[in-house]
Amino acid sequence: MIVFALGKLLRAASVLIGVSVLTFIIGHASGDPVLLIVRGDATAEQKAELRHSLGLDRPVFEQYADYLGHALKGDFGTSYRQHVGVAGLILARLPKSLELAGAAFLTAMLLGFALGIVAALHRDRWIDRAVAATSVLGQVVPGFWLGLMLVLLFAVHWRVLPVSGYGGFSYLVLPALTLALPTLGRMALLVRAGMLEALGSDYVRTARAKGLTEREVLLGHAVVNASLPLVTQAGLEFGDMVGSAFIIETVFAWPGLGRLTVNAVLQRDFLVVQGCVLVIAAAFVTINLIVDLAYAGLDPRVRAR
Amino acid sequence: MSTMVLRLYRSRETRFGLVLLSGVVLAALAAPLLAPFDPAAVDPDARLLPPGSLHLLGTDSVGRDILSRLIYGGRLSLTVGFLAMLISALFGTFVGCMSGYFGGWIEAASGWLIDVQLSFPFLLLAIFLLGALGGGTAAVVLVLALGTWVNYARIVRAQVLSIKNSGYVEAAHATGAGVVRILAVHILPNTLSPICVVASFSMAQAILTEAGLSFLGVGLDPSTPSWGTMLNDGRDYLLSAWWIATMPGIAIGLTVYGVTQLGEGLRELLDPRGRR
Amino acid sequence: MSAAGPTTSVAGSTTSDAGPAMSAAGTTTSDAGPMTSPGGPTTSDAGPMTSPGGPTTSANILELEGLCIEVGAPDRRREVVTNVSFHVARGETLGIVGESGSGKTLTMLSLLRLLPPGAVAAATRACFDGRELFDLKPAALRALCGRDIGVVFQDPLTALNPLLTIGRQITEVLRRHIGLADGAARQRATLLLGKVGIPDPALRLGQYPHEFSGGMRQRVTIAMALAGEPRLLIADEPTTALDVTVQAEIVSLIQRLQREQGLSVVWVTHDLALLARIADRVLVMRAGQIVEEAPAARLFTAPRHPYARSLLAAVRHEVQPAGLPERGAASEAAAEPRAGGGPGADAAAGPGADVGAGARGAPSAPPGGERGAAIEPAVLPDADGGGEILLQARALTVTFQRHGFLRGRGRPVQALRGVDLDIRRGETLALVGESGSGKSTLARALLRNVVATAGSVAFDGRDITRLAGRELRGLRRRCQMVFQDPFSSLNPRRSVGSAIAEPLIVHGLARGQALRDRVRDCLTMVGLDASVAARRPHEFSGGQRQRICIARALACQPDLIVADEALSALDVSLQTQIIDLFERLKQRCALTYLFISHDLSVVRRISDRVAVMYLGQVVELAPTAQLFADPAHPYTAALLAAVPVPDPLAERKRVHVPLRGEPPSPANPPAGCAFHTRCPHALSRCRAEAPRLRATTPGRHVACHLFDGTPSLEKST
Repeated sequence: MIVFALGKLLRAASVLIGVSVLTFIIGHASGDPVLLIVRGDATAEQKAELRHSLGLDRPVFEQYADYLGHALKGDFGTSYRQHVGVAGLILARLPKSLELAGAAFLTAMLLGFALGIVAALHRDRWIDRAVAATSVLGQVVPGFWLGLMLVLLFAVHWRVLPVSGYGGFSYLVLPALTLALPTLGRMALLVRAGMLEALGSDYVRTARAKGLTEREVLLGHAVVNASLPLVTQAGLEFGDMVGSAFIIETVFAWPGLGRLTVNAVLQRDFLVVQGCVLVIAAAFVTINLIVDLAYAGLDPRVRAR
Repeated sequence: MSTMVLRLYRSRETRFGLVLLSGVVLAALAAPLLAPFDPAAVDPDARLLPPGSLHLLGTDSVGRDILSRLIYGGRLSLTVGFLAMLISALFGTFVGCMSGYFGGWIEAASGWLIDVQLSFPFLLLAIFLLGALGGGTAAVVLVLALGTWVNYARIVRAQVLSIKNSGYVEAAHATGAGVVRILAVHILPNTLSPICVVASFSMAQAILTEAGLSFLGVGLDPSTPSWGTMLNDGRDYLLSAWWIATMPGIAIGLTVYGVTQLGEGLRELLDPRGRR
Repeated sequence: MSAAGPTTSVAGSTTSDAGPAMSAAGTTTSDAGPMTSPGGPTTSDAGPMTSPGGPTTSANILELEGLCIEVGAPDRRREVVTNVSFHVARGETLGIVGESGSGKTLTMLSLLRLLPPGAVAAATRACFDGRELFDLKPAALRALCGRDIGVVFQDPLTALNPLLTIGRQITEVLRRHIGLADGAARQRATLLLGKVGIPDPALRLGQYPHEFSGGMRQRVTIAMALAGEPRLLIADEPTTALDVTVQAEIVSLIQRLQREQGLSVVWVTHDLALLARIADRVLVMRAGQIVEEAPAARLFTAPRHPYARSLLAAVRHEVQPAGLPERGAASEAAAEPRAGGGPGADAAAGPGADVGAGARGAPSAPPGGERGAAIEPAVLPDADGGGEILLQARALTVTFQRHGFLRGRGRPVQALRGVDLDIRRGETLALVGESGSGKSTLARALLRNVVATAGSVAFDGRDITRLAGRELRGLRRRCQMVFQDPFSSLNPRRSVGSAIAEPLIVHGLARGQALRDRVRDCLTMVGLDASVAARRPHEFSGGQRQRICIARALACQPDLIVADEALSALDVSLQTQIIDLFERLKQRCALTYLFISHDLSVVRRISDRVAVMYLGQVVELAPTAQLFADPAHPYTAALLAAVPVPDPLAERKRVHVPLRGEPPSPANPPAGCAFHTRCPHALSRCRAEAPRLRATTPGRHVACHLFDGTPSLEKST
């Protein structure tokens, strides 16, 4: 198990390095920040001086190594646009993004799991069809559109929830729900399929042959096996969610990392972009690591390899 | 091919999706005949009209007919989605096939690359690349293809791995067949069915992603009608003219539903057939 | 827990008689005359039941009458089990035999309401120990399942939950049905594991199913089934997935437990020979009905129903009496001539094992009505030194590395550890061994499908170990292989004609019309109609598919055909037909066979010489007759002793000495002689030094220190 975990850790680290390199390259390729900072009438000398002061005239490898060194200490540089520390900007926004993503992820996983099991147990009855229909709905329309519709319904028509912004729990409901819905649908279907397969399996037949109560069979045998596909998929879903969060944050004016990043990209403020991307990638990689370890915890066959 | 379409039609689940999708495609093809108005025709007197008898789905902020824009927009969105699907299918299948069959460093390298791409928020990558490539429809298609090739690579790799170890490939080996023949005659044809299934889902994903990119303003040119740009138009008028944003969403939903139903149907059809 | 004593009637039961005990410590039913189903109407309520041949009591622990099972969609129901009635007396072992589709498993599952969804069962009477099974409420049925009836299923790997420890899977029964608390439950579970012969039971409690070998897993499921101290054990093909020596051990185990606990056992299997050893009475099922029921002794000597007779004949690998139609695709009616000839055509037929009879005394009967040219009798290779050597292996070694990038290499698997072997032209050499013996790897290494790590292989005089490219392809033309699973060996998307044509295309042997003609010829040779060439594999039945695979192997007129467990996936009655086909083809096309199998009775029928493998080495090589009459190597002896013989009297006379210990793993072979850990005759020398394959008498080679002092195989002729 230790060896297994170490292996995964190593891979995670290598992926992070890859991401940082990729970001660095793209950031540098996407435009010269000097041109964005100075005014149009700046002379070539002034530009060169600025470039030198920002350290942009050094070889790329050196810049990268320097950046990495600082990043590991928590210094992500200074935003070209806003002239404040990138780390500070990120730190201000990160918790809010985590709040949104966390709420959405938990809702999607837990509710998806529960609905999937219920749907499997009441196969082909109304609840099963309802779950299927909701899942489909969540996956065929753009998430943000669904968000807009929900806003129309709950905020404009019925006025029970605020339209956008950040505040207490009521402000969290719509954005989190919107973010969660596609994943929830997929998870419910996965769990349903897993549950049905477990219910038809040989080991469940053995459990019934041993005379265990239906509850023991379901909880002790079927559910455990049915949750495996959910765990496998969870990491990917989190990644999807992070991607969608950018748009959702825009739609609901949620002051999170997503908006910061999108704006920074449009403004060519690439140090901010780099910092954000690294943080987001790190979160993603961490979640995946946790998921992998959770899966190994559940399935002993994986540990043995 | 025709028998497959027939069989799809017969199955109740997929029939609806097939009909829906065919309807959408036909409407897009027949746009000039169907659209009641010129999609670009601005009419200041008819701004922000709700759905009614003249403008069936209403008008937008400059008086353009929503229905016509929707039909023409379908052309663009469908074309973009289809092309993206095609490109990602070719590339993803190639990578999946190579890494599945040869393994070794090819598999390790592509696996790592996939991990890196997946760790990178796709939207950001898309915005970067669109900025670097300068925007435009072709750039959007490429970026969308980038978003879905991974699905093909994974599925094809898994399929190739399982076929590689199956009895008939071993038998072909034992007969003396070479790598090329085995790949071309035995492995690839048997990967077609999962590829078709993935293709339908990836086209759906491409349509949705295009909507997202255009909504943010970084996708297709905002002046040309596509479902995504229409959503962007409607965003500011959500409270006053809800139909501008709602209609394209419904159109997308129906199309994507049709496509995914088709995919599910294909999966059902191609999978258990031929089993004993 | 003995079965003596009256059954206490449980609340709600209607039929038990609490009178003077009819102790059923031994079997009480004798053959009360010819019957195909238990005779006599029995009244179902509130009265003593009549059981044949005995006074009124509940001498039977299970009585079933008129069971019918239907499956299928509501508008398309089919009856798969029709009017099945039988009984099981206390303490007896009832064997139920049938081929696939006979309904034997469904019958037993229906009693416990474990049928797959969509299947519905109904019976006039289904009485367990006086209680009507189909009337029980779910809670009562569960209690019954847990305590009074234990079930052992076929595949222990899927029957156990892979994510839970086996300790948990045993203790949950104890906690639910015997009400034991955690600690006491674990203790009892440890005891149970010990009772079924698992070493270190306390340690094993915390392990997971995948950490056990196949035989051990089955022991675990038996322990699980016995946890509630049942009175009836239902064993559904419990040993089908196991090696034959492991099977012998499991059978001994169940017999011992039965004696100790007075269990009644219902043993469901497709292997009729097995029942000769264990069953008191036997039911033969076919297509959902019982066609014959008899005490074991009578069934094996004088079966009455034609199907029972053909089954017995097939098990003995005799010629089929007027062949019965094969179940399968509609196309088969037109496609196949019947294999074999009239009844009794085979000279070697006769009850009981033909031990000692020249195993290949006469060529298999070329019956009249056979299509094709006249057949010359086979030329038998001499015992030694005769016959040119076609394929030769020396010190062949194959080691597989386990993959692992960051996790490290893992132990390499030594599939072959220095194999010496000769295959002579025109003979049928059988390769026999259990799982882990390396026989499949050897076949692949000989054919260069697997690259040898060390050693050499020579074909027709030329060293082929390092061949590549065109020359390797040339080798492939002359050596072909038929695999075990006929379905997966055929590309489901291509027609069978194209599958057969593949070797011809690959080697450029024919084109266009000539190609098509050759494909037709091949199809005809294997007994299929030439017109089926355009069809796809899924349109054929299992036996037909295997014929197609054989046709494919014949297409480029090879010298050698390797059949890797080619019969294992087929029903017994089909096996005989395919064996006949093999023999006919051998004569006609002058073939040499390397026949790999774990089924010794098939091997005896078809082969000239036998090589026995254990853990990657050949331990004995001898002519078939000699090997079966007088096995030299202790492993061969144990193997032969473990194979069930379809003769109850002979079975009861045999002394079953199970092998100690577990089969070792090829990743971790024992030092010295690989067999010494389980050998009843192990010397101290065996622990240190590995024996080489030496000739003991002309034609026979053994790798064992007990037979030492004789020249080795080096000198090859």
